[in-house]
Amino acid sequence: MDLPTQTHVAPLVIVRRRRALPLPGTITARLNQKVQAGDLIGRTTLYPKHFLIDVAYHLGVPPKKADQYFRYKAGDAVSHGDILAGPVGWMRKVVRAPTGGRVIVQGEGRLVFEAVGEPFELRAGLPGVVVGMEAERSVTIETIGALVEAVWGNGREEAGVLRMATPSADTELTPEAIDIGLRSTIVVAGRVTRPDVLQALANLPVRGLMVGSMPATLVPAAREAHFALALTDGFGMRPMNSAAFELLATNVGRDASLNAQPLNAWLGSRPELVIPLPAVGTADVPAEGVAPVVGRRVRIIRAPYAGKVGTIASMPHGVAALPSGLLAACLEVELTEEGMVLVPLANVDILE
Amino acid sequence: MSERSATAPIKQEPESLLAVDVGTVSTRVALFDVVESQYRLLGVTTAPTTAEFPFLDVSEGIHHAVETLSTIVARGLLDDKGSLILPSRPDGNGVDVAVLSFSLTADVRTALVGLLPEYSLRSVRNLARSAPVRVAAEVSLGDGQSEESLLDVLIRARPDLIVIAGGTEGGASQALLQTLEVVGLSVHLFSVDSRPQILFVGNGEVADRVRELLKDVGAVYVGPNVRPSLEIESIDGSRTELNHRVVELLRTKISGLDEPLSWTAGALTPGALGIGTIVRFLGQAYEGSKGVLAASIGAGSTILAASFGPTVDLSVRPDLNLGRETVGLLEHCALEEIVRWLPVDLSDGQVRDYLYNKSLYPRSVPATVEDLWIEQAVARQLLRVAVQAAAPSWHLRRARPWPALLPLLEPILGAGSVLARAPRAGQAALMLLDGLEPAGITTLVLDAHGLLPLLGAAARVNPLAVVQVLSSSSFPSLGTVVAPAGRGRHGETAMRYTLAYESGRQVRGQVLAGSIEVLPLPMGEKARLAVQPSRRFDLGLGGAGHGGTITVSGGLVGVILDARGRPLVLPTEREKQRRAQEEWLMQIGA
Repeated sequence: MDLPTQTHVAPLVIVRRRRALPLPGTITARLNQKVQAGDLIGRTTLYPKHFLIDVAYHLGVPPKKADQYFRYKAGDAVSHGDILAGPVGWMRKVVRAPTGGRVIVQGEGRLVFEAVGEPFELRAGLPGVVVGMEAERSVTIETIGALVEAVWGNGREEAGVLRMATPSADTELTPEAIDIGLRSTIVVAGRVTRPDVLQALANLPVRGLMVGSMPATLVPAAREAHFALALTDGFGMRPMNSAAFELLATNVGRDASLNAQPLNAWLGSRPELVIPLPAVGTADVPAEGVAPVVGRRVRIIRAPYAGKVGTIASMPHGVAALPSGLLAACLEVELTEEGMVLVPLANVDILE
Repeated sequence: MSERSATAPIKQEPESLLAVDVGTVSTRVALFDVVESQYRLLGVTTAPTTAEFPFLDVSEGIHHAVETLSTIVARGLLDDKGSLILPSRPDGNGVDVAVLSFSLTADVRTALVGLLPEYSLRSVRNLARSAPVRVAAEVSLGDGQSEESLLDVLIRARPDLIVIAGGTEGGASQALLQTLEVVGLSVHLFSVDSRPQILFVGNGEVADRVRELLKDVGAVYVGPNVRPSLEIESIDGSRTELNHRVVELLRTKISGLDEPLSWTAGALTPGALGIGTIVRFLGQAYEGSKGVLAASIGAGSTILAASFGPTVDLSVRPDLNLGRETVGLLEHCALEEIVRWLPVDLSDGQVRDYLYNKSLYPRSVPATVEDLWIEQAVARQLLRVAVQAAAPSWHLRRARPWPALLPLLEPILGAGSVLARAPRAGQAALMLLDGLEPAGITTLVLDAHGLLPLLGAAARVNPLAVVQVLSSSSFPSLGTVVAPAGRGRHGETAMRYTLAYESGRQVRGQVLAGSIEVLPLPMGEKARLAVQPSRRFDLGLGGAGHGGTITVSGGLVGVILDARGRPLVLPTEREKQRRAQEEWLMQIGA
């Protein structure tokens, strides 16, 4: 039996997210610290350049003898121009650090030097409380709020006030609908199809854009955009699923964090928008691995009903023939407009 | 598949066999047992593979599949605690033997290191293509890279595995050891928990020194030299080692394999190697002058396994799949090369959107006819890209009859759900014909239940079962294909034929250039086909215009006379392409 995928579109849940450095570095946040989305919580350096330095050659001494002239131990930090080895002889030959960095390993007349790499700063990404830490690697932040998961993101993350730019989930965002009131906000719209719309949003600029879909031809422009962009439903002309659109519409004017990270099926990380909310009553961590049962709300992910939201009316018994001729285990799904439709189990996504 | 069926009755104690294959999207479980002195497939089920979030435990999917199979075959396979009943009990429950295959493809980042770009680096690149790895970096001191840049490239690649080749057997070792020092240094710079494994497949005479040199920085494994001399490339031996290293690495990333491994005494066969095993076996069984080819299009990778003698050429392409990497096909070909296979009028945008959406939802299935045609068009192009890259390095025993085409093959096995689940057998046949472009006379066989990796794993413990299942209806023939090389003017006669059925009935006719004709011949039946190509066409029976009489076997489609010519040339105009595809689908009965 096929297993549907699952997407969280939840009005009030506990959101717990691990924020990790790409390489070991320094975690600057503290346990139980309250953080805002833009707060720095860790830093590291990326892609340091390495130098293999033949110290013995430069000093003009045999390799074995060169080791006694080393001035630093492995791991020591040095500044640009610092003497790494020497002086030797009446000419007082020395070997200097080619740039700021640290000595990695040395011996037998050779030395490996690592230059300071490109700085990387890790931000909290969403407001909340630090509930977990992993030395040199990660911070876990927890918040309570609404959660809308998406399926594709352009790799950026931003925070801002949520604004609706289209009246319905299947309305296309046009340049005419973009005005100064959207500046520095996270914009929600049914779909986008034109590159000039992305350009207009970049010119304002906006912080983010969450839409149901866009044509795949816009992927290069979306990747180059300086705002976060996430698709809730996929590529093409799909409307935003009504569950996500309605939830976002009820939260207009609130602060939101849009993390348009790429989907990673192994880690379970995917693009998402989090709207922190005051905790009223109790909230739970969203359930994972939910089974398809009658009455469960689902979204259809493939034609001919792509993007439609309905409820499971009956579970599969055996397989049915699809219009394509394929045989597949199918569900009956009740849709608002189309009524009862037969959908392959593999083509539904449980909304939880 | 019935050409060389193994019908010898079983003399040894019959053993029931449960085979499990953990794939990228689906986990497949099959039960084989003896029925009327022959091993048969009693049942096969699939369940979603549960390696990914939120399950992160493949045993859930395996248990699910085994439970379903147990219901289907009405035989208890799991005990009250959910453990496999092994060996079988007198009441018939349980199984005697279990085997495990692992076809799941995950991101195994691999750095390739060679001494000389045109020799060892090229060979280690060919080696890497025989396993489901993602090449994250290629470095060679011989192409002018400094030690420092080599170091930086290796560190940036953040590999899970470094494969090093270099040095001919007995050759100089100084440059190799110098390279290894840099590799060792790069590995030393990784944190202890992220250090890559190292596989050395270079000069065997320095293997001990390699182990000694790198022993302090990580796990070092040694395989046979992929370049024992400048003239010879030898990948077969190291391929097994590489695939096992990949599976070991995946085991560190994926949990839930311990229990199924306890069923198999720790034995696990990488799925691609299993397919290679079957192809090697078929190559020996057929013993003809032709080669054997298996082409599998999966959600994790496209695999080609070809055998032209004792060795198998294996090509594993995780970058070409009908799963999360579907859109990656556009890195290997233009969108128009996919669109040209469509029999319906769809825009480039629709097809491009389809590729992206398939990558987002790899488990989803085409529900509409339009989606089905796109998926099948993608399958054709995946095969074409894979075969164009792999075929030039196949180790042939004799020269190709047509240099620009595939060598003669018999049979061709097609595997993967896009083929096996095609609504009509003709669709599967046409995908194989368009994707591979076989020339001459061959037979198309379908792996209807996705058994190839399972049987590959089973070959180790019960080769007789493998032989007999391969000869069964689990591998139905799609039909004999007669596809001459050459090209004729559209509408002129390409070949004349007479098909003599066993009943004595005869059918005569001609096939026009640019078309396909199917002669009905049901599964299990044989007939004599006399075929005479025109002077423009060559069937491999002695040159252009030379014909002959051959025995043909029936299949799900029949005898397929493909006179579209080889190489296959498609119209350049979109509308003509669409009409051609429509016609060919109709002609083949799809």
